Amino acid sequence: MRYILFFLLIFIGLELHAQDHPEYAAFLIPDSIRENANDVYLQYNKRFKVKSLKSGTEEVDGVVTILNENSIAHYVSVLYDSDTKVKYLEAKIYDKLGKFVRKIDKDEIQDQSASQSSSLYVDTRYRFINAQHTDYPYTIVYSYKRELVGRQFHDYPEWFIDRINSGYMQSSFTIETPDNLPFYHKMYNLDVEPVIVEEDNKQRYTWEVHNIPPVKNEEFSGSISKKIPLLLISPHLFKYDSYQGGMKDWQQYGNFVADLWEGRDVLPKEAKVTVQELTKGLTTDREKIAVLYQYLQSQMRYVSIQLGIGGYQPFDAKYVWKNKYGDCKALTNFMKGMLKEVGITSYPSLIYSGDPYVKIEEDFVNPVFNHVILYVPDSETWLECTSSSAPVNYIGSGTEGKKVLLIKSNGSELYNTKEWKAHENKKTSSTSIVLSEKGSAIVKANLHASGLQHESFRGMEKSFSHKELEEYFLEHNEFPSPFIHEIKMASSNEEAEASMYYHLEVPKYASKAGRRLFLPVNLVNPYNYIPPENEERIYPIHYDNPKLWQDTITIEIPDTYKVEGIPKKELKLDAGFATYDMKIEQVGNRLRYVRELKMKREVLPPEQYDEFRDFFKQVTKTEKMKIVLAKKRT
Amino acid sequence: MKWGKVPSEHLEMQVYEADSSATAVVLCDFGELEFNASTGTVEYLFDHHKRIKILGKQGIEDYGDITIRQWGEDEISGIKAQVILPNGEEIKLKKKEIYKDKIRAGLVEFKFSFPQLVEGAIIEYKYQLKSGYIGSLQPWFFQAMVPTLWSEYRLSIPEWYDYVQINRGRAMDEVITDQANGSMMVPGYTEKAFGGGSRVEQRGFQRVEAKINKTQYIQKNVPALKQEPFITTMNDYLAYIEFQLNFIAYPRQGIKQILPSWAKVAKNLSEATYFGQQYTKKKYIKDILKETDPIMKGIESNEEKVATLYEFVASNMEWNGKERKFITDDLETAFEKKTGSSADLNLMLLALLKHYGVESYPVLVSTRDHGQAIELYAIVRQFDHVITLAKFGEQFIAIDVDDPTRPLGYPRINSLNSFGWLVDAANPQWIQLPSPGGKMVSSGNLKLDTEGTMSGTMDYKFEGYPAIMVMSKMKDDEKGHFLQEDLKEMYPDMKYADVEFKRSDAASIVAKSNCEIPYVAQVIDDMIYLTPTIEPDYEENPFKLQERSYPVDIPYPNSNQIIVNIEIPEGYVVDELPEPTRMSLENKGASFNYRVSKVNDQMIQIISKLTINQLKFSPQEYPALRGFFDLVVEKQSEQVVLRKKS
Repeated sequence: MRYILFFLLIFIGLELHAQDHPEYAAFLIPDSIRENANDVYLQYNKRFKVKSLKSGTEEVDGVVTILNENSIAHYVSVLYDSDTKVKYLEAKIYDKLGKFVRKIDKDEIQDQSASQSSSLYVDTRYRFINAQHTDYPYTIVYSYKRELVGRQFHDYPEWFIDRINSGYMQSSFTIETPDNLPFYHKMYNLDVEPVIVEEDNKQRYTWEVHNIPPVKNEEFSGSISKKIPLLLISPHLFKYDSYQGGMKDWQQYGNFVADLWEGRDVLPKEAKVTVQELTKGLTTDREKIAVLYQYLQSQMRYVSIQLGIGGYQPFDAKYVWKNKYGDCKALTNFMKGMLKEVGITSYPSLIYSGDPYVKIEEDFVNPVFNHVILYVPDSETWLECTSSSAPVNYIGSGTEGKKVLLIKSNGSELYNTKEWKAHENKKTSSTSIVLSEKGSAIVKANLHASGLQHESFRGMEKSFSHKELEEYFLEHNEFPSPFIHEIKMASSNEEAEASMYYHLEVPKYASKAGRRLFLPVNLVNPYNYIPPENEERIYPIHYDNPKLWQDTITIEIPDTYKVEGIPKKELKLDAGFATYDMKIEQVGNRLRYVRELKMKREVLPPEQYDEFRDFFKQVTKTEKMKIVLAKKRT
Repeated sequence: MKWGKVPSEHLEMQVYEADSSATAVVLCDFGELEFNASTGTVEYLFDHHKRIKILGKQGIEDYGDITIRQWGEDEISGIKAQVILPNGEEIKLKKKEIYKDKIRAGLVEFKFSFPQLVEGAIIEYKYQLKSGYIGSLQPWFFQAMVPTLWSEYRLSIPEWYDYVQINRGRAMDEVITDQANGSMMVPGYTEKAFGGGSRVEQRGFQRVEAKINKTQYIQKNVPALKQEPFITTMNDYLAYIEFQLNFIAYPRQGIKQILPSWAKVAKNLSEATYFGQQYTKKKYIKDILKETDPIMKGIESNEEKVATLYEFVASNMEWNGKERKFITDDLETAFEKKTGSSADLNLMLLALLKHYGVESYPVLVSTRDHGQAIELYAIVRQFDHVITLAKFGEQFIAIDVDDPTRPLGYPRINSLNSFGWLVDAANPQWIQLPSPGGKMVSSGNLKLDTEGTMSGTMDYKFEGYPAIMVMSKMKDDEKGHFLQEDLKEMYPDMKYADVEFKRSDAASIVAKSNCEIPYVAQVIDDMIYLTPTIEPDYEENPFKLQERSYPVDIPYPNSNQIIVNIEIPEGYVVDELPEPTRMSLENKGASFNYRVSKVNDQMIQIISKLTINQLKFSPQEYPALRGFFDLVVEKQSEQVVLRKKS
């Protein structure tokens, strides 16, 4: 390699200075790593040293080549808070040939609050550098060190071995601990053995990898946790403020969380009176849960304040009662307190809402949670306490099919949330259309949705004013420039169900050409998304949006017209994971279109991608067809 | 408005009659600004008190959490907040419930959440802001995302300070002026004998009687601000007022002009190191000249000089994505770094043009995102960008450099905001910036088979902005598949074909491709139904709302032309063709011409031409504009019917 470099340098005629690093030159990155990459880490080394039960240090140094403007690796950001400190952060920029450009000045380091709009106030902050250069590719060299205490320390840092659209030429992770502070470790999606060194009552484990191509982003490829190689480490024992915990198993970790929650669900006197009044005369748990949950939803709102250990410990029930607000922990804790008042046991359940980078598993304690909901075991009821509109026992798209940690004192355990089935996520419609000779139409449609399919309906109903609903409909419907006569929505308080009714006048429903009218068949609920072509599919196909659509549309055509042609009167498709069944019948001057589309949750091998795509293609094409009407000759 | 004193009709209000969809109403927004110089520096105190009625759940979401921002050296103090429940009970926020969040250097946010919030409750909060920056006073917004019943801004300004005011969006309902007697500390002066005369020396501060000019600006029943698409920036329509210091006239000290005249601004800018010196002093460009001198050798005509230098700056300098009006460091540094803001790039070009003898000027612009410029007052802050104007003969050309694919004479689209201000110490002036247009012609020779598949060649010609768009997309997609994206979406069975590009001149490009599109036409029994406009200009009407509150604003005039010949399958005859259409909006603001005709027994031809000339359509013109596009969409989706010969 040295010879090659030498020749190249002569060829380019580069002037070399001591601070230059020709080995960073971007053209040296092999194509196998460069493909699908926005940036490539030439080096990435993370060292974690455990000092005590409460603290440790983390040092990171990286050399990353930014290949194009889609990369965000030129932002180097380091999180800290009231416990954890940043000791240093620095970066230098090199050009495409590894020639030194400049060092980032101290005054270019920015210090920012991590508060986002969704959180009202958090004490987490970050230092960050924007080492941007405009001439691509270029390389930045950076390093930082943190002293970890509390929230950032107690579950130990992780090592991402690969990322989406980032390649790694070399990457390593080292943990050094005193013998009396042992740790657990588990690697996901890759198998690398550590090098273990034991000396001076310390043990040092190092994992190292070379030439890891980027993770490619493919559609319908399922959870990111299945793709990203990752190492997790966790302590046998740790201390966070005055609380001690351990990660031997989920029960031990659950005890730590239970300690944090202990005694915080005691309701103030007035709240107890209110709870008793609300549930007076109710006999079943189901009724009591419903009443108290609706009370929580109508009276308390979501506001997030996370300070120090408050990131893990809920504000107590008194606080929520007084302010009528709280974050997910505080609202869940308050709901738990209300249920306890009427003799119903419930457990807070830690969960990751959305797509986690690692799945929760029985054999290793990896507390990757970002949310908490409440579980009532006797009636098997889930309560999402931050939603002001969800029905009782509704598990939404962000929380379905997840492993959660039920928090009980001395008995915490993993548990599964429900996973929706296709037939439960149903959208049905029944529509009547009366067509005029001019091609205009009166449309009256009744739509009904349940399960995951009902979420958007409920959202529209709960958060839009009538005017906003009309505007939203105008911007998102498939009819050409309709006029709305009436539109209304309703949703059930008890069930995951909602409905919509609209009455429209569509002046140009059918397009006219001479004596013919071209009549679209399904503008009510058409399927129209075709997955993109994949020349080389890498990952298996995960279809995880199960649903069932059933639509019936009756079209009354004017007496003076006859049906001249129907492109497809019938179509039945069965692709295994999905079925499609469409039929058009004519009775007198009425056309009746009935179609059912059913898609199940399924994993298919990558080779089947073209077939998978073909199903959607055929469906979309059929949904777009137009029936031809011709004026009867007199 | 008195703290906590809420009229019962506000407490009882269930719905806001004038806009029943409102989920909250600003009952009263009250600001009061006074001057103070008791500490030895002149500063203003701004007291803000706002009261909002919550009518719906969304109102709780929108106004339940409040953030007050403190910028730079300003100081915010005395934050008070409380909720008044529908039963009249008041809940005050404690000091510790107001969080101070240091977002970053120069910005602190005070955040709080109202407790016990229910529909029907009223929230109110107030605070005082102290600012030493009297050059421009705290601006005032009369309008919110929800309706406002009463918005009032009271200013008490000592007679020595003269401010000009700029208000936008909506006329005042009431302006009340008054004068009172007051006193204020002002810089003190003593006269001292000096030579034959005397001179004035500053001596601390002294209290002086002054007339205080009091003004109340009031707007009542202000409707909610609505976001709409096809607009420059909502700032152009939001009801607000701001104040710029014009002059100071302390007693016995004469007038100190602060807000300059346009002529003075032009002179100052022409001499400023961060502006005029860059294009007048040779030292900043001497390194650049080393590289330009060889390529400029022998070039005589101004046209060629402009073109060569434009190309030079565009290909040597990388735009850093920032629109700026003043130079970052200096031209020498920018050239060394090979990157810079829009000001660095455009002033570099200007410096070179001047050096090589082309008459040229800098023109300050307020971009579309930044809002409309105000011609009345010489406020430089209203601009955010600078371009270069070159003159050859009697012709002016507006030049705005960023990357070499955008040709000369086509400013970035964000620059196309009607007016610019030409900076010339001798003759500064407002000029109308031209909006060069765009044009696209697609022509095809296609053949339809009995399966409904169409194949043949498509040729495209792009001119102006559409050509620029194509050139920038070509960078990532040399095969030109982006050109067929819409087709692919309409006809998923289609395979991408490679496109051959040819740049005919700087601002136009031609593209050619062979295409095969299966199942374009529906074949049913003996009939073939075909939408001959396979690439419609619009698949659906871009204007969806039935009415609008603000004008539609289009950056540049545009025309799309389609000429396609289609050979029909042997053995078929044309049964029906769409009716021809010719339509134009009033004043020829937009026109549409569509015709499908039979060339011979085997060939039909589609000619479609859509032209948009007018750049601004008022809300009154909106229904016509929407109807116009309805027709375009309708005609271009109409079908041709072919029948098998019997």
